[in-house]
Amino acid sequence: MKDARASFDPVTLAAIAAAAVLLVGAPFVFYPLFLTKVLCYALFACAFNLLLGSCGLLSFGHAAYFGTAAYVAGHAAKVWGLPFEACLALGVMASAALGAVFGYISIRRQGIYFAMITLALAQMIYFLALQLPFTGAEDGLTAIPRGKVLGLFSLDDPLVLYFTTLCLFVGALMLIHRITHSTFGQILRAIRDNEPRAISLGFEANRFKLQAFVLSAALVGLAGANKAIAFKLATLTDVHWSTSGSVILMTLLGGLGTLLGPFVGALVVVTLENYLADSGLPIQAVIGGIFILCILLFRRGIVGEAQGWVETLRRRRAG
Amino acid sequence: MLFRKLMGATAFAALLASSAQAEIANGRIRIGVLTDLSGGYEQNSGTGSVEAARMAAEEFGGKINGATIEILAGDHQNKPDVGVSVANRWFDVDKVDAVTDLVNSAVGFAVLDVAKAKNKTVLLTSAGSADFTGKACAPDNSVHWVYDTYQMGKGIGLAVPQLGKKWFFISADYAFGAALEGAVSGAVKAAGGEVVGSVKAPLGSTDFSSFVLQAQASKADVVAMNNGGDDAINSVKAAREFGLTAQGMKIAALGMDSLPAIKSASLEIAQDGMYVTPWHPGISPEAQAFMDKFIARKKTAPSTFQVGTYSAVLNYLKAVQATNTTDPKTVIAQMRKTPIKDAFTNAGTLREDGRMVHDVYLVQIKKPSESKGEWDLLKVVKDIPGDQAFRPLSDGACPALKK
Repeated sequence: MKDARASFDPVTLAAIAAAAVLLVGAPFVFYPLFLTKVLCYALFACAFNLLLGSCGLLSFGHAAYFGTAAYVAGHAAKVWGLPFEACLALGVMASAALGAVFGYISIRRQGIYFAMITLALAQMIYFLALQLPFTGAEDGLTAIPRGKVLGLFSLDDPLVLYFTTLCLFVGALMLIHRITHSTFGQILRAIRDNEPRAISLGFEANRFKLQAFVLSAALVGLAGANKAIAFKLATLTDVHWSTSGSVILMTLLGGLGTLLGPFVGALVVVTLENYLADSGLPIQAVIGGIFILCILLFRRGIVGEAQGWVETLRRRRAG
Repeated sequence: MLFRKLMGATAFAALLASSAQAEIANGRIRIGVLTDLSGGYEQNSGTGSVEAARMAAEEFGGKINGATIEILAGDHQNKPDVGVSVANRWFDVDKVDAVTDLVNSAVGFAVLDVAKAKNKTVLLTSAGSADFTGKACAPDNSVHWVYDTYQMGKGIGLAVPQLGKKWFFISADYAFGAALEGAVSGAVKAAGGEVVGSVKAPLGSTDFSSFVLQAQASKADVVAMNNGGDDAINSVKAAREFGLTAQGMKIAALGMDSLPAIKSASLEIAQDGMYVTPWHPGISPEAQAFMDKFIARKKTAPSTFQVGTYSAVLNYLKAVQATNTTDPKTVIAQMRKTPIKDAFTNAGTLREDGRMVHDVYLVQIKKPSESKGEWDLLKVVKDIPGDQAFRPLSDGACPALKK
């Protein structure tokens, strides 16, 4: 294994610089609100990947944390009239707390049992959202005011909204990078690769898994809260199991365990959902077809395959 | 002096003309049909609504005062955030002037909110919440054309003398089902009826036997099937199998409320069921002609929502033609001034809270022996005047009007 805290090599630095230019320049070329949506879902997928990629835990209920944060942040903004930052913080706290409870219950099992328990718990949240009065059930929570960032800039300006979301996204991404490349991240990978051995080395596997679970839920909550404010709505779709499925799809499509994979996956899925909407094509079938192709032809996902090619090229040049 | 006046008048006229010409921006009028093209609402809205909107545009030859009419279609996939993203993009990038259909109230509320902020028009034809002219009302930006939950409840209540006094509900267990049951049972009680029982069936049940047996044991006069889609078909089927109608109980099929839905359930199953509909093809020769034209193009009869979409788009375009602008406030004000008479209604009026008030009809589904043609499915039991069916303006449900 490489040194976990390895400094960036020139190629990676160049890639990061290029990405920065693209992300800053994008809203002047593409529609900013659409890009904001991509970033929200990208953060959702990256946070999900923190659990699946680093820790090997396939949660099938991440929509619960996404939706809970969306409802809480939306309610805080609309009914309590709290400022943007406070709404985000409340959303994150709510989903982290939920993650702690659900994580505590579910990490006791592995594999498919773990996935099913997370799904069952998430369905409970779905039915709560359906029945609780403040969520508006099928009508959803709409007309959430966006407010101002830092009390200065109105988020109703699409560019302000985009750059605020971008800052949150980049901050969260750096945090995820820091987590996966820390000693903590190494222990998570050790648990993923061989849990009994990690335990035999003296690590309390369940404690680390729970921490990863809560971190993941909290970051998913950030994405959900941000989405609720950006799109001024929180609805049952956010807590529906198909959203949990869709984030798995994004992660696998982009590249499991890579830093940028979930971002690329989210970009692909959200773009298809949006731009195919007025094409007359059956969207779900198209996305399904792409997923099948991905499984058959490039199983490491888009970014995973690309990284593989770069590695091969480097090795050839070196050899 | 006269010369001066003349000059002034000419200048004024020139100013008017230029400002009017500038109003239909880009020389085109774009209407987006935002609907469910791939899910459960496809049959009643979906591609049929898109076709209906196109049919309305064609009546103007595709052009109004030199501006081309373009109809866009979008699939919100029943995800409000997709609906909102598409609507935002349509308004900002594609310069869409009006959005219509909006089946699924959650999407409707979300898009209405966007339209208010961006000053665009929303023609709600397939979404049903009474809050669109209630607490979420936007009189300068939206019209609610076809039906709402208040009217559905009220219409059924007005049909109590025809249906019977003792009611039993089999309701789908979700918020729309609960709201509709509340509205209907309130109306039933107000009309001197009583609710002898109600049971909630999970959404997507296939076996309705236990619910139907409870209904049978209740000795009710009317069993209201408060559900939609496959649930409606399955529950009505179960009621028939257990002989409820043979015993003289009446079935009010609240959700089996469109010609295509009855057709797919088949008359064998649906026969004798009663419901309240805002439209049926027997209202006028125009309605029948529209239906024939629609069948020729789509190979199926239009649903009520689809005829409503046609009517809303048609009247919107008429108002655009008259005012030569797409400014929502001006166009909607013009729509309010004009009485509505087309394939959807014989006498409709657009109220200031955005509610289009028109007659609704209590209909009964024909027996297979009574049906003379493929789409001859309904007989009218009672006409219900619009001002009795819809929530009166004096209820003051729309906060925006109080300002």
